[in-house]
Amino acid sequence: MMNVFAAIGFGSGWMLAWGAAAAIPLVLHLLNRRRFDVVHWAAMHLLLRVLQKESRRVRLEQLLLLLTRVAILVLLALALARPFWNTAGQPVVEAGRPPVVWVLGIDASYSMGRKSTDGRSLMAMAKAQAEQIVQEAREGDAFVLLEIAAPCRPRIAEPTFDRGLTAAELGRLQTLDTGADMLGCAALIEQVIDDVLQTTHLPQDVRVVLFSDMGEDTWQPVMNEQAEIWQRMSRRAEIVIRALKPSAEPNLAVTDMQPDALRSLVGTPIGVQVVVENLSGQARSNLPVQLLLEDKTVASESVDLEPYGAASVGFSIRLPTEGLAVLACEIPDDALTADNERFLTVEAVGSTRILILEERPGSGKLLEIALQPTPQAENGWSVRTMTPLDAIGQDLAQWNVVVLDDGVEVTPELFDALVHFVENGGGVVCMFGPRSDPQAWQDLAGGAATEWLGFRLVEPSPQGDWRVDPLEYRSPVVAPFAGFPAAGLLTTPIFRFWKIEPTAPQVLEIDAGLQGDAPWIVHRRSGHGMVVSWLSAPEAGSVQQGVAWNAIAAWPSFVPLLQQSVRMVLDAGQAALNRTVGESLDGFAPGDVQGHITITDPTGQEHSLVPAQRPDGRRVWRFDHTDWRGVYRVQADAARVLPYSVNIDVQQSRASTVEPSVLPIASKSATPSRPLDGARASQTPVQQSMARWLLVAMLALMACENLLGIYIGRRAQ
Amino acid sequence: MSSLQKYFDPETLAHIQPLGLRAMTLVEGLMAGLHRSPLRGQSIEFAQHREYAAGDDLRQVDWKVFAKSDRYYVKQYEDETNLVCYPMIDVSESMAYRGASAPMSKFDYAQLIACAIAFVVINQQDSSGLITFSDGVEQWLPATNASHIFEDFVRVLEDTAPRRPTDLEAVLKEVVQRLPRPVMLILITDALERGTAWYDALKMARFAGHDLIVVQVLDQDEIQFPFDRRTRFVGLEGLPEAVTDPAMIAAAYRRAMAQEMEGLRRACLQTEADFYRATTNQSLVQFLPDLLAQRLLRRGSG
Repeated sequence: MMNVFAAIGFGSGWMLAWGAAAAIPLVLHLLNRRRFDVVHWAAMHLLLRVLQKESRRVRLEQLLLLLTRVAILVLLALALARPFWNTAGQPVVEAGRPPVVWVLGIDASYSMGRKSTDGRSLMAMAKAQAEQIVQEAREGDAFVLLEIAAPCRPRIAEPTFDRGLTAAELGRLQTLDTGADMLGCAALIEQVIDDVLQTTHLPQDVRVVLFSDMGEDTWQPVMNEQAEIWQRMSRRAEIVIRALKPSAEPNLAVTDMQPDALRSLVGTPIGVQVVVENLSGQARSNLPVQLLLEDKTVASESVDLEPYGAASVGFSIRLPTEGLAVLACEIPDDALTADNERFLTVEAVGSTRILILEERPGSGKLLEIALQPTPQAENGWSVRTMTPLDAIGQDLAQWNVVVLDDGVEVTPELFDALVHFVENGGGVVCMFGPRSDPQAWQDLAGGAATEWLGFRLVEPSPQGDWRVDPLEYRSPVVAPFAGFPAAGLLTTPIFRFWKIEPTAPQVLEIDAGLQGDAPWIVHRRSGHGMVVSWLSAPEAGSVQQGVAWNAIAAWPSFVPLLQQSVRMVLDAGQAALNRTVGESLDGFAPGDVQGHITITDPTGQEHSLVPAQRPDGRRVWRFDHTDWRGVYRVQADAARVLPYSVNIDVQQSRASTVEPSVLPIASKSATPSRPLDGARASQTPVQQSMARWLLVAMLALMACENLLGIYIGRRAQ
Repeated sequence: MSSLQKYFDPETLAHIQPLGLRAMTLVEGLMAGLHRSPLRGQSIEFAQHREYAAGDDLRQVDWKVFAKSDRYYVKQYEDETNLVCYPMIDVSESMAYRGASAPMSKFDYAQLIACAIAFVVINQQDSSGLITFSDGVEQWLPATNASHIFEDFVRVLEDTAPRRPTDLEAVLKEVVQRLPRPVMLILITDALERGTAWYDALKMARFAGHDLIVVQVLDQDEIQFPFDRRTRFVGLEGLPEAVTDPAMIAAAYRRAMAQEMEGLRRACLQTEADFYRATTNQSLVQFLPDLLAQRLLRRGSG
């Protein structure tokens, strides 16, 4: 008998509280017994005789009616509690547990695409285990499904009792090429817990089961900066982490692909350095590495890789035609295919057009010479110098880089044109020297100019011999000097410079500094372009110390520094076309296009976007769903397709794994309270819902109650 | 309602006070409806002579026969068998019952019947007395045809309030013992007596030569039992109370009441007593003329 009761469970046990409603007929009955009319009756002998004869029948009928009504309400409460019967006849592990809300989180980062020991992917294994939980769940259990990617997304945000829906959503899950945002995951789980506690129709017990390959890059934040969040959450809900182990099959990855420049002249060679890493303990020899141009193999090399070693492969390729092109580098498929290729969008141009705006005719000659030392320079740069007055009416879009000479008067109209020029991917190099007017820049466009530059000119520095600090040659501007301390960079004679106050410290980067932590060359990105500022501009005048600000123009470092500054802003424009998975793609819609922007993702799916209108009238578009590696082709107008190369963040490929036991989550979460492996499934009792039968019985009783009422009523007639 | 019927309508009569006026109203209607008195002129025909016996009224001696035969004979007329009627009104507490829809109580109704009969009887020079009873005889007005008897009749009834239990058996025995000669007894009662022992008393009265008429007066509620809410029935005549759901026993009650009424009717039939049943919302015209007429026919045939 005990087994019989143990085999019965309730899906929504708290609904049994409605059983208290069964007291209603009893209470009404008792109340009715207390309320009656009073009649002084003459035929009392007769009435007493009838009562004596009929009282048993009357009591029986009343009792039957009362019991029927009570039973109806009891059955209703039982049905609402969704009882089930374990047909296998054996008690389930947690026979008495109330229903729970299962929060199933599936790591969908690309590392889940690795194969497990049984040949399936880790994602397939995670889905199977999650489906098993759904199948074994009891009546009354609800489900939330999270796709742990970057960003973390709820696939089923509101707890649902629909197992079919949950299973269907699970079936649709697939690995993305993103990482895993555990902070966002924690926020979503907390939201679910809060929502559950604020509702009354949901089970109040929340169980979180996270399926992951336990990549260190994913879980390291949980152990460190997110530790407090997860500890707090583990006190509010039971958190179970299912660590999925990949097979020992080796994994090799293309971890880097860097060109000499993202822009090159048509027909001139462009160097591409590819780094291939062996992320396993097995050596690999003769690994083919292919370079593809627009899906056609154009070069191939073989490399040998030591265990956990890396090899760099250099390719040289000439882009035959002008325009944007996508280069790809591939290695053969292995245990994890997502990291076996990388993409790169480069541009072949006929020439690079540079505009120098000089203060007065001839004052920009120095910059012009530095950028184009000889008319036959092979860098393909076409330099033109003019005053702002001459530039009126010029469309800056025809230029690739604009260089502002020291002291150039920037009108609001020119500033507005420069802002749009940079947002669209153009590059600007600003020279600030003795002729610069800090107040004019301060007042320009209501202070917007200082925001655009990233700083405000404060005052000239005192006279001195300010030594250049290359800042470890991190910046491309000074990178060519690395390893050549005698090349002239460090001895560049600078006597005075502009002290600045950053207006956007988070985006202002220093390329080269001066003694005393003062910046000399700084840049900030704006839109798709970049603005580089020299805070001590080269002077063409006297080099006598005490009068001049510097003697840069006479120094050998001048030409490389200026040309590198221009190259940096040129590459910045191209960098917008090379992104990482998870980053947004954005751009300006052509002014004459009023329709949609069409984006074709690497899977071939087309997305249509409606550009948003900015206050200045320009129309911008933004695409956030870069979940896949590969090429996103953006059709802004009929004539032009922009290929955006999107690559994975290879940190996941390199990352080791974390043991669940070291996570700062309550001990109960380290192992699931109930085994979830496949072998368990065959032993799991089958739960048959009894709710339907109870409802049928309730309806039958309601019919009986009606019939009984009619019968009694007829007898009373 | 016709102008005649209103005299018999309990609703109408209930609004008439006092009892004397109410009874006169009823009788007025009764007379108008009968066209002629069913009892008038039946009591003065000569029947026979018999020899004088001591104690006979000298006024009854037939002096012509004495002159011829020198013997004393007294005339015997039909008037010797003139009606002596005793309406017996049950004034037990149960007679005070008046249903929610009834125009008057059973006692009020019984009063009307008794008054009407007495008036008619007295009006035709017959004698009428009055007996009120509960568990014993309460009031006894000897039968007379004096005209003041009706006023006495009304006064007694008006001064009577139903409050005691009933014992029909004891009352009937007492009445039979007290009556020196057979009379017409009109028993007006609800007959809600416990048991049927009083039926024997009826037989006894009949055996004693009394002419019996039983008029059972009931309230419509006592037959229909129309209550539908849980009710506490407080027994009159000191009977215990009972709380019940009337709807649950209504049918059984009605069956029991029907059996009870049928039992009384059969008992009356066996006792050769006339039986009439009236409910307090029932027009008196439905049975009162019939009652009086049938009495006449029986006298005529007898």
